[in-house]
This record gives sequence, structure tokens and C-alpha cells, in this order.
Amino acid sequence: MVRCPQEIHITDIMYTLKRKAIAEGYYRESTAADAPGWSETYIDFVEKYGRSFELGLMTRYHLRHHPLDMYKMAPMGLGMLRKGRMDLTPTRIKGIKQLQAILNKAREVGGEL
Amino acid sequence: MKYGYYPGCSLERNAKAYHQSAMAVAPLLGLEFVEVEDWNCCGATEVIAVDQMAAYALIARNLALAAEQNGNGHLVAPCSACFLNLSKADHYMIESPELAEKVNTALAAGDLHYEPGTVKTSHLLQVITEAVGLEAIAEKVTKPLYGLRVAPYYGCLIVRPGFEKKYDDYEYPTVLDDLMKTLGSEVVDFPLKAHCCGGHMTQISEPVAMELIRRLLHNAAEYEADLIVTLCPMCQFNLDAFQDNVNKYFGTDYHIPILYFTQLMGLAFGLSPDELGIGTEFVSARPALDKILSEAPTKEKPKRPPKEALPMPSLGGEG
Repeated sequence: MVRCPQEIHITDIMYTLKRKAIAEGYYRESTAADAPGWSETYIDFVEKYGRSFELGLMTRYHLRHHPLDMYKMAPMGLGMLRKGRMDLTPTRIKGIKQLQAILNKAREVGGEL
Repeated sequence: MKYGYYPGCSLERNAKAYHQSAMAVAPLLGLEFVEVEDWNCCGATEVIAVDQMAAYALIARNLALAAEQNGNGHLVAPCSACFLNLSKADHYMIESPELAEKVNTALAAGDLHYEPGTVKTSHLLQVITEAVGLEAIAEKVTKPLYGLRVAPYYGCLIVRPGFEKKYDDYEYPTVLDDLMKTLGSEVVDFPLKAHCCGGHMTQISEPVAMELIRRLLHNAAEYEADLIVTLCPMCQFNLDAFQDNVNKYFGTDYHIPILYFTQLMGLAFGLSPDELGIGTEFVSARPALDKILSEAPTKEKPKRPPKEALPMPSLGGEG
């Protein structure tokens, strides 16, 4: 298999294209049209608590985007709880205000590099 | 050897077996991991898909905290996504002073600053195989995993794109293979060892995720692996928690346990399964682990067949 001789990180180019597709609304025509919905739900939780919260993330995302598929996720979610692999409540970091200030500033500075 | 430790969100709960087993084997190898206080999520693949600057600022807060709290600036991340994000942000900040300046403007809103290049992030596997080394590991093995057939699964993110340091191979790495052999187990060939587990596609596009997971399970089953060993919480989760979904989706019947390499290290070092979080996996590893032999299997040397048994072509007649 041949790798890019210039060592260009293709995944980062893909991320750039993904951001553009989301910003310009092209993602709606994609086969993964729910991807931005997933990412945005994920970001909401990280911004609110500083860490990912799986139960909240999966519940909110599925309710918004795949309410009829909830039954498929239910057995696995219960398994996760039973095995002690999922929290019922989120963990909030101590410096959440600091993190929010940093993220707000980052958005203000913004821009693609 | 003392390291800053960045567990990441998965290791707090979903992959707590990974955290538990890493913490159990670390002192036996002379490693001390000090958790970065009040770390935040690395953003996984989600934040960078929407907002580049927010993604780098999110990661950089962790780097700034790690630099502030840990003297030697060496950080270890057991999760492949966290490892990639931390090393990637640092790499791009070193490469682009403009990015570093923007990120630091954001960090300043939280009274933090990060000097690019001050924190070196390694994946846990790298620290164990490179800083500790296989020889030192071999000395700690008291209960070798004889007879256990292991498929070593690397996933995408520690081998590609490779910001910090290139692994031995982008498509066919062998570091984990060597570690597993050191523990006494038998390593099967696993051609899909660096293929994708599907990541969060399980939530976004079920057919894509199911097929990616199926391929990996099928490949391991074809090589008669007793279990798949992994080094990433996402890979473990997808192959383990979704194995039942894959079986229903395709009408297959896979029962392949997925364990973390630190769990197998712990077993080989004589620790009990409970101390290593074994039992929290969806597909139970117990039947596979029961196959571990107390002695090294003796490999029969292939006997040279007697001459008269050679399949000589018959020419007919008197022969």
C-alpha cells in the first residue's frame, strides 16, 4: 500500500471538508446526514459538563434523530448499566466555567487554518 | 518512572476495566501514573468535525493543565482517540505559530497558557513496550498465557496518521503481537488488525458500523482466535457491546471476547481476574481464559515421512 509521500494528513483534510459541508448545509444530501446532529449533541454535553455523558448523549440523540430506533439501543443500554459501564448522572469538572470561557473565546477568535 | 495520566471520558466508566487493569499492572512495572487534575474531554472526533478552534482549545486546556501539574511533561493516554488528539494539537501548534497564538488567546480567557512542545503524549502501549520494554515485562510473567490464541487488534488511531512518532508499520504493526508473545500467548495472524471498528458510526449509520464490526469478528474467527486483544476503549466497546447486534443483523453466531492488553498482562503477572475488571465485558472471557494451559504446549516436530510414503506419481505397470 502506498502512503502519501508528502505525509499529508488526509484525515484532517476530510475534517476540513466535513466542517465546510456542515457549515454550508451539504451534509443533508449525505448518507450520513445524522452525523452533524450526533456531533452537536456530543458537543452540547461536553460544553455543559466538561466530559462526555453517554446516557444523556445517546438518549437525546436518538430521541431527536431516531426515536423509532430506541428499542434497538435499549438492551445494550441496560447491559451497560448492569455491568456498571454507564453512569446515570453526568460528571461535571470543577473548572467548567473556565472551560466555557475558553470555548467561547475560541469561537470568537474562530477561523480555519 | 513517573508520568502524567490522562484517562479520558471512556476510562471513567465504560472502559473502567482498562483503567483498573492499567493501574494494577503499572506499579509492577515501576510506572507511576499521576492523573491530570480536572482534565476535560478531548473532543473525540466530534468537536473537530464542527469547530476547529474550539476543538484545539478544548485539547489545549488539558495540555496546559498537564504542563502545569507534571514536572517532566510526559503524558500517557490509554485511549487511542485521546492520544491522537493530544499529540495532534501539540503537533499543529508547534508547526503553526498562528494557530498557537489563537489557541493561547482562547486559553487566556481561562487564565491558562500552553507552550507548544512542552508536553509529550504517548499511548499507554508505547510507554509499556518502549519505556519498560519486553525484557523487563518477561521477568514479571509468573503465569504465562500458554495455549491462548490471541488476535492483536490495533484499530486506526495509534498507527495512523502518526503525529508523534511512527509506529513500526501503518497497516501491519507488530508491537502488540510481540507483547502478547512475551506473555506466553499464541498470536494469530490478523490481517485486519489496523482496520476501523466503526467508531461512532454505530449511532449514525448502522449498516456501515455493522459491516465494519462483522469483518473484524469474522477475520478473528477465521484464524481461530480465542479472543481479540485491544488497546482502545472505542474498539473494545464496538466489538464487544455490539457483537450481539451484529449476530442479529447478519444471522451470525460470533462469541469472541474482547479484552484490553493490560488485562492479559495482569493475568500473566498473576493478578486475579477481578482485580483486572474481567467480567465487565458483554461477551464473557471466562470460557476463553479457561483454555490457558499450565505448561507450554509441546509442539510436535513435523516428522519427515518415510521415503516409501512420498507421494510418487504412479507410472502404471509394475511400479
